[in-house]
Amino acid sequence: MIDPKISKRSFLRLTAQGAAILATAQIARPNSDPVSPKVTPWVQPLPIPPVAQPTTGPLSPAFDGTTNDGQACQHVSEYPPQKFYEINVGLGTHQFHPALPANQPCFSYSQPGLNKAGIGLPGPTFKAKYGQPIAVRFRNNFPATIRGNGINQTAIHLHNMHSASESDGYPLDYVTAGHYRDHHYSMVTAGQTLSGFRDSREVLNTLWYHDHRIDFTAANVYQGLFGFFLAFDDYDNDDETFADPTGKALNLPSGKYDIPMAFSDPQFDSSGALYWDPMNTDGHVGDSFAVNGKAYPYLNVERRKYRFRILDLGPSRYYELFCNIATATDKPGKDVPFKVISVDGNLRGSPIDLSSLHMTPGNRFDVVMDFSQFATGTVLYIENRAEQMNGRGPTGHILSPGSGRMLKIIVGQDPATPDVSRVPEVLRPQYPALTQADLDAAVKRSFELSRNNGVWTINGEIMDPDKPAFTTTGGQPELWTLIGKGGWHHPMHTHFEEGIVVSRDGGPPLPEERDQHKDVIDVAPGEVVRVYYRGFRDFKGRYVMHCHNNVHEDHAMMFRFDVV
Amino acid sequence: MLHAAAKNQVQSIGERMIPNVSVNNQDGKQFHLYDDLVKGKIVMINFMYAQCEGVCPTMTSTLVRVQKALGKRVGSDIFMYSITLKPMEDDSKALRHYVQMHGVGPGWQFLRASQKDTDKLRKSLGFVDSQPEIEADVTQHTGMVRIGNDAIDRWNACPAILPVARLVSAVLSMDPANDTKRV
Ligand SMILES: [Cu+2]
Repeated sequence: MIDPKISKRSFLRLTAQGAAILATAQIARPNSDPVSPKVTPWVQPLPIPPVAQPTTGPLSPAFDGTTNDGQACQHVSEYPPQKFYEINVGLGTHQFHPALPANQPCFSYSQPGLNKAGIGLPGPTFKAKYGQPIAVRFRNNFPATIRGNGINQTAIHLHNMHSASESDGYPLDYVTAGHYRDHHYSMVTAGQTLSGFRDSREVLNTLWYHDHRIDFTAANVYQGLFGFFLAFDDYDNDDETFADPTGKALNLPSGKYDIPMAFSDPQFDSSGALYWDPMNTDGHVGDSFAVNGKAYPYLNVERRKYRFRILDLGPSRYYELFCNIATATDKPGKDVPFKVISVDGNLRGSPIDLSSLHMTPGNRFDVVMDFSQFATGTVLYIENRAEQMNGRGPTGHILSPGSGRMLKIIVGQDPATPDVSRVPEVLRPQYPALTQADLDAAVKRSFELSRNNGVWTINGEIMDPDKPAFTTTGGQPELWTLIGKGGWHHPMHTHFEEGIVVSRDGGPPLPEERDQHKDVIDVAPGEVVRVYYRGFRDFKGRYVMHCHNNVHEDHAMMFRFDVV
Repeated sequence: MLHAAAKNQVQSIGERMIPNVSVNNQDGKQFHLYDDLVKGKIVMINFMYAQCEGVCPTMTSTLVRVQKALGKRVGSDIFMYSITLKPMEDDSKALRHYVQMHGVGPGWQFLRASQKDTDKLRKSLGFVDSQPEIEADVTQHTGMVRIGNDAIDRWNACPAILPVARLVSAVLSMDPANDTKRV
């Protein structure tokens, strides 16, 4: 059951890359990576992260319209925060699996009283609404000294949010232990400060927040500094039962039927402690799979529709996710396609059925799965069939059904109340397709992604936080050509504004990429990808573009750009 | 794996990952790499060879400026090591000459191990490439600087061509007492 789309792309990559990819092998170092202890899968439920709670009053000391490190929040007077949140960033404890040691130290985003025992990650899930600006105080509660991987300093990036530079988690805007930093999320759509109205085509839904401290992002996120941030509006309104007199509400599955899932690949040492190799500059490829920080969990579902918000947490792992119906003897059976409603936090014009989800670190897919089509007792698995040996990315080989089982789904009874949620054929208005005139009017830039002398480079350069690679003016459309040199995949992430893949190697983009806003765009070995940006609107200041294989990013595969 | 003060008997990352091989410095003095030069210290380690005409001279001059910027700390609590990739060519005399030519100050030692141990060291410190022809090319392993603080198990690596100020701040980030960015 190989998706023709995937096999074609893999084939193209293999031929473009020639023998180089095939010859690739993991170089064993003298102290080679450990092997995780064998654990019994499907013995613990998938945990659902708690919802972040706003404060009951103003922050103390009060939010003063700055980040608390001298940077004024742009547009804060037009969009004053209506809600305030406090998030503690520090040490926590976690257990990945009942057979692995309990109370293992982890890094944790938390709110007092919110996290369950033994669950230090993910952080609380934000639920925000367009038109309701918020301010979040991130308190660095780490001790002054910690031992081990990562660092007790933190910069928080809200991935794909249209944030002002000072609230974007610029990698050098980090907070040291014992201090706090305030972020203002104006909850405006791109272009809103210019046009004065909220543009439904720019509304985002599934975002995530994570650490972005320069040089330490991968280790800090790997150890727990990540959480979901869900944004809603009048269409995607977090209420499947809402009888909307205006007819705008989509009534997508909501509440306990709307489940964020962060997929990751932890590695454990022989004692069962989470393992990280700080000497590895290629990428982390763990031998275990976890969802929301629990290894091989199960999920009991009712016979009705669910919205799954699937995140590739990285730092370096690519997925080719399939949903497979197990036979009565737990053997792989038929695959079921995913009904994709949202890509990288953007609701589509209409749903698209995909036989598999191709994901790079940082990517999100929102899918709706209708379990009413299955009999009670049916077992399904979410499987990752992408073969990946190292930080180069997937080999292109798709593993056989039954491989890479990550999550077990057990279909239960009918819901107590009938399922009123819907998956409308028309989800959200979209921009018209890009025209040649759009492309002609764009500023052209090209970026060569390479590795020279062990150093990840973009146009031969590395991250210089004091010098922008380029400056752009608000609203100027841009057309970037990303060129993958050498034998590596690089999932490229642009902060602040999204890109649209115009072409891959002169041909069309992947089906799910067509006319689609995206924030992480994969560049395969030897591939030339053209990406269009509608312009960097509303806010000014420093932003970054980087490889979202966070290990590459931490070894300076990043550049600063300035919006002036 | 991390910050568990109770696990005081557990090997440090450096002890586990860095072979404790025998090395000689430019003055011929012999050390055990981990025990004598890394254990409990903040270190910067890179690879070079004296006759390198590519990136090495630029890199060395950058590191000389980093050394100057770090001032007296180099040799007291921050230690710099350059390990030759060509120990058969770079004898003590060649390394001494290199030190003088580049104006390398005290606290920064140039080291040579046997060829076998050099390869072992290079790989364990992460100066590797998963593409065999690049892995085999000795000139492709001189671009990064490994930095770490063995006392608190904090390790990272930076391109040696980073701006000097960025390299300095990356090294100082290894020191928990460094709190220059008070936000
Ligand atoms: Cu990359």
